[in-house]
Amino acid sequence: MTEADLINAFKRGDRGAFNDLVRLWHPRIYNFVLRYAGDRDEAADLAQQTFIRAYSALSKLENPEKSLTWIYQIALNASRDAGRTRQRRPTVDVDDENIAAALGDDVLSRPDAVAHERDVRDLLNRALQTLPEEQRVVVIMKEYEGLKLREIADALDVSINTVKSRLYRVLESLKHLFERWCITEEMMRYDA
Amino acid sequence: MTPDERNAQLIAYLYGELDEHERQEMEAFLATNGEARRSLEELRRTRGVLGAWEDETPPFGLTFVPEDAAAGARRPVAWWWASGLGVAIAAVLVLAFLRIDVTMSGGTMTVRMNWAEDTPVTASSDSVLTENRFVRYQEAYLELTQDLIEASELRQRAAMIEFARVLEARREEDLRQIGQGVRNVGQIAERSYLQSGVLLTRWAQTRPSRRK
Repeated sequence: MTEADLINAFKRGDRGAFNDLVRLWHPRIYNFVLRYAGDRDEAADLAQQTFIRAYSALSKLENPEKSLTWIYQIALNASRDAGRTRQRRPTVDVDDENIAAALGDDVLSRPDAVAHERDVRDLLNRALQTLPEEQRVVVIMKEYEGLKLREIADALDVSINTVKSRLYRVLESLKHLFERWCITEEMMRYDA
Repeated sequence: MTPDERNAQLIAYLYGELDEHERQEMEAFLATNGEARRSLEELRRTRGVLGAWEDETPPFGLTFVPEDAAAGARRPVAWWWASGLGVAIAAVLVLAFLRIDVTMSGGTMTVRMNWAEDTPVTASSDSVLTENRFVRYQEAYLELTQDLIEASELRQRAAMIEFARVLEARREEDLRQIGQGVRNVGQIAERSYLQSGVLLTRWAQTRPSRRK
């Protein structure tokens, strides 16, 4: 069954279809809010809140074909609400010195795949958290969630040209950041 | 085309979201513009770095609708079928446990309870239970019950008498043994006393005189 089939089944009263939708969406929504918020516990909580909101709003979804952008909108709104209401975590200005101090001299050089993966994750998480929120959302949706430019525009309720412009700016920003941190594509790969 | 518009097109080209005509235009532009090619390559490298962060598995699964309820709502026919099957299985198990055989033959239902006697209890459609018959059954039942009680009382009384007789015999035997024991102790004491006297007499006779 497609997502649209499951949504229509839910609307006809098959509440169990929602479990199937959650199984489909949960991994990608979890990873979306994880990269947005940068914290696993918060991501798990935000994913749960997203589906709670989705459950009560699903019967009112008019176009099941656009359910993917719809669920991302809910996840983004839940993340933004949480960001506004929670006491802000102590933030760290991510500059070259902080990165060096946080990751140490042996960054990305440990002979352990798990440690390497953790370092990569921490590094990129820090990089994303340096971005303005509107740019961070765009790059996460495009690079990690694989949404089309049109879908991102729909989810954010902006024009497709705005999405392209933001993407260009965010990739330029990240390029300069990675240059300052001396991070290259080759360093990010783990070769046992 | 302004630089911003060109950059926007470059992004669409980077992600493969230009139509065929736009793609050819962009490739023609890139072929003649080294700076644009370098910019495109840098964007690709930046994407390569970002791509190193792989997806993670959520720490736990989410289930919002109880699976039982969900299954029930989704397959009502199967649920009723399963319920009926369950009742039938339960009935068969009860009959098997009680070892009851139910047979129908010529309008007569025969129920045989194998754990009791092999005598079937038969109910036929032409046997009518009248009031007189019911009263007679009740009288016979009461009479039988009374006989059983009387027989039970007689058995209990005979058992009590036998128990008292055995108890009395045991008591007499105990008293006899106690008397015998007392007598034995007396004889032993008397014998010891006599032996002591004899020993004292011998000791006195063999004792050396102090006067010497």
